Amino acid sequence: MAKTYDYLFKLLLIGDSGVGKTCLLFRFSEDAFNTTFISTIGIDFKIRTIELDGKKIKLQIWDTAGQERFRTITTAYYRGAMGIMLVYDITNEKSFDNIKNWIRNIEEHASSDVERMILGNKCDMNEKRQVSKEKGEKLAIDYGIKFLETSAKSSINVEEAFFTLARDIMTKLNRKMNDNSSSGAGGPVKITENRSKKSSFFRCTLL
Amino acid sequence: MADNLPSEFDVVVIGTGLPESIIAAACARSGQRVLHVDSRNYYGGNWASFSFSGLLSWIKENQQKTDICDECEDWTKLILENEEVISLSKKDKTIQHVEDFCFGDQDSAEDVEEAGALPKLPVFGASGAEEAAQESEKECPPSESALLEAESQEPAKATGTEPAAAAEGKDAEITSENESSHSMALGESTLELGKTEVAPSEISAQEPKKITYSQIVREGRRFNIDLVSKLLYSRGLLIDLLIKSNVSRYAEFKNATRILAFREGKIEQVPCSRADVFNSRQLTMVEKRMLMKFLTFCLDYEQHPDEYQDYESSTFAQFLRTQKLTPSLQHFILHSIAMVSETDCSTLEGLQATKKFLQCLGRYGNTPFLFPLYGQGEIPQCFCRMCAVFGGIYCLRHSVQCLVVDTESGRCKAIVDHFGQRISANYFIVEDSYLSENVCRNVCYRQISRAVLITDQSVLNTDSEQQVSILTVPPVDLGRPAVCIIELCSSTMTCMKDTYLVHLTCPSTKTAREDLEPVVQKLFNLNTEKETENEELEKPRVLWAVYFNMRDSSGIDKSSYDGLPSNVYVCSGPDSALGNDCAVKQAETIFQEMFPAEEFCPPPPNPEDIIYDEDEIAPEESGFDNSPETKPEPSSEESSSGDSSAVKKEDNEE
Repeated sequence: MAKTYDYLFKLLLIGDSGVGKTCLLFRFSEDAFNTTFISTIGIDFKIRTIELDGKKIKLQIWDTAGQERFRTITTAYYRGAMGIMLVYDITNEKSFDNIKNWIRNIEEHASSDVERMILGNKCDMNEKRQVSKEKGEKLAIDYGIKFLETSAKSSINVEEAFFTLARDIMTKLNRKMNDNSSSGAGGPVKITENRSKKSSFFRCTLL
Repeated sequence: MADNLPSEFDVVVIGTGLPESIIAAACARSGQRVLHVDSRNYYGGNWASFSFSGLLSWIKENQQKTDICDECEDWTKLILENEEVISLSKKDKTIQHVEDFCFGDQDSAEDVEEAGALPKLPVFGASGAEEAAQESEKECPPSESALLEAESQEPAKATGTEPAAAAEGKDAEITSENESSHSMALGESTLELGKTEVAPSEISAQEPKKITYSQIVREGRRFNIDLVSKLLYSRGLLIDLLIKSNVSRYAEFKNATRILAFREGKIEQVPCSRADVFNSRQLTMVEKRMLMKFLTFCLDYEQHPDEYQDYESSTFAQFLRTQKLTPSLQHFILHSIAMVSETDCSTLEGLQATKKFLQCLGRYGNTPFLFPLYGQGEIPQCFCRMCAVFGGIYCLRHSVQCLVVDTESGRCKAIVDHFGQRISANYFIVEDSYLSENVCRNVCYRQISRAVLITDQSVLNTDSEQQVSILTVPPVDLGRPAVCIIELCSSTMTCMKDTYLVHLTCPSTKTAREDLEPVVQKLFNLNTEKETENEELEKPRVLWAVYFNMRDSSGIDKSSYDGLPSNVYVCSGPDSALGNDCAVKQAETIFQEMFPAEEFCPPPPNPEDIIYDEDEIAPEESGFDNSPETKPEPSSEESSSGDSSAVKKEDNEE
């Protein structure tokens, strides 16, 4: 099968309920926004392939499946993630305060070299703003993470956010590949790969 | 709690162990409104995996005998006149006799670090070829005792690949100087096939790299220590379900790389695939032919009843003795391939078990087993994610006070949670440990004996350090259970670099320590003092250990529980078997009793899944970054990335 991309990045969205994670996901993957039709039910992840420096990069962006609501995100969700978008709602101070808790969560469960980025979503609703842009920027600087204010509704900075995260992952990846060229071998098994024929005992080793 | 729960669901599931999680996923998938709760603050119940610090807290919790009595009084008013209450248990009583030991010499920790023996991350780039080259360079001391000593320093190997370390540079010099003795020593070891000494040992580091307790604590996050130790049969029910339901997308696996046997005090590798048999240096040509012939027969033994029908009333062990097999081959087949009891297993059961093993070979690698990266505890969580994707609501740290039963119909109507909220549903799934002693008073539970060790080297050192091994140690006294040992390396993401995580499991006859310590003493060095005998030096050193007994609530008929309404279903905790078939069967049975018309975990119809299939075939990228610490392995698992989605369909139809 011909591969339609050069890289596959697994990205996660994290943040309190209602900050607009799923809306950001839809805006980026479908260029659509609708506050009513979106419920997190049934959305595992969305895909969009972008191009960076002439390379096709498939972004597989995972949603929390609503498990952030009672803080019951499974550790399995974090496994293998290469980039994480931490999202808060600029009209909801609590969601901003919780970013620290989510960062702690990431540190506990995600790979230590995961790329992170903070997004202050709903920046179209300036009249209801509770968190200043400066506050968001400061938090990001404290953690050494990039920051953007976004609006899934008005399509502000959504593209920029995902492209920035993807680019940062790419940079890290290139650096790593230069460091050691052969680390790709011996990867884990994905069990949907079924490479066996029926009678295993004989054929397994007949290459 | 930020949010209030809805007060009406179709199915309430209490407990997040494997069977409960599968049922929750199946129910949500078929459109039921599912509430899934666990009173603990982690997923999985007795199926969970812990970081080192997490395990320490778990140990502490289970060693404390105090009952938690945060009785919430006001819920009684929620119970109507025509209703009865079945209280649930307040405290988990499934874990007993927890004893942990630290063998590390904590004081010496600082010294070792300063000497530069710190466990640096091994170089990722060491390819198979490089490793081989490095091996051929290694020093092979001519004297036996020196060889043994070298064995104990195996962990130094990781740093041996790091050119940067000054100490290692010296070693390299020593190495080349000694190259002349290489061939001779190698010749010697060839004669000792099957012994631990076969292992091409890395040598030389004058100071063995010692992992200390404080390093384990510091790197505690690298550990994912399973409470229950299992492997997935590559053609077992769980793999089939993971594939069918697409839950497999949430997890990654590693092949078990070796099947080991313990015979006459030594650990040997069991040749089980065709290639293994042919490549085996420990078998004679005659033995190879015998083994191939017998295994071929086992694959379709049903077609040759004349070969075994005279022995149907004998044990499998007796049957093996009548076959043209040498004692070592009999041992391999009985203990390491069929993995059955010498005294209790009938010929037919043994043939079945052998066939199952052989059929699982080659699907994903050269052994029949897979192990989930990050530990067994990931698997229940993957099903929970599936449930959540289909709308299931999750609450951990959420206890349930009682089940509310309608007196007239005898059916359960609702639960009352620890906030005093009444939540109604049509079906209730309760994991065994949540039931009160009152309900379980007539139930006779078995127990599982477990031990977990953190060690400094593998029980059988070979060219690659990154091995996932399964070893069956036959009982010393006939009639007692064999001990199943699974040794995990750091690339399974369950332990830190330069350590191994060793799981021992057997059905209990006494406390876990009494059952398992004799085996631990046989295989490992428990001495902390430096002046240990040479014999002890070759064994892996135990740095830390825990023993505990876990309740085995599998195989209990529902009628044994007292007074449970018909719409309350009980899920059992982990059983002592190696595979997961029991949990999957139970989940499917319960689901089909509740919803006979519904399909069990069909593949999600979402069109994105089709896109996803393409994605899965990109191990070059995803494998790369998913597990940066994973060292390259000379296994064949990555050989066939290209055709996964094409074959996948087939698989679903199977």
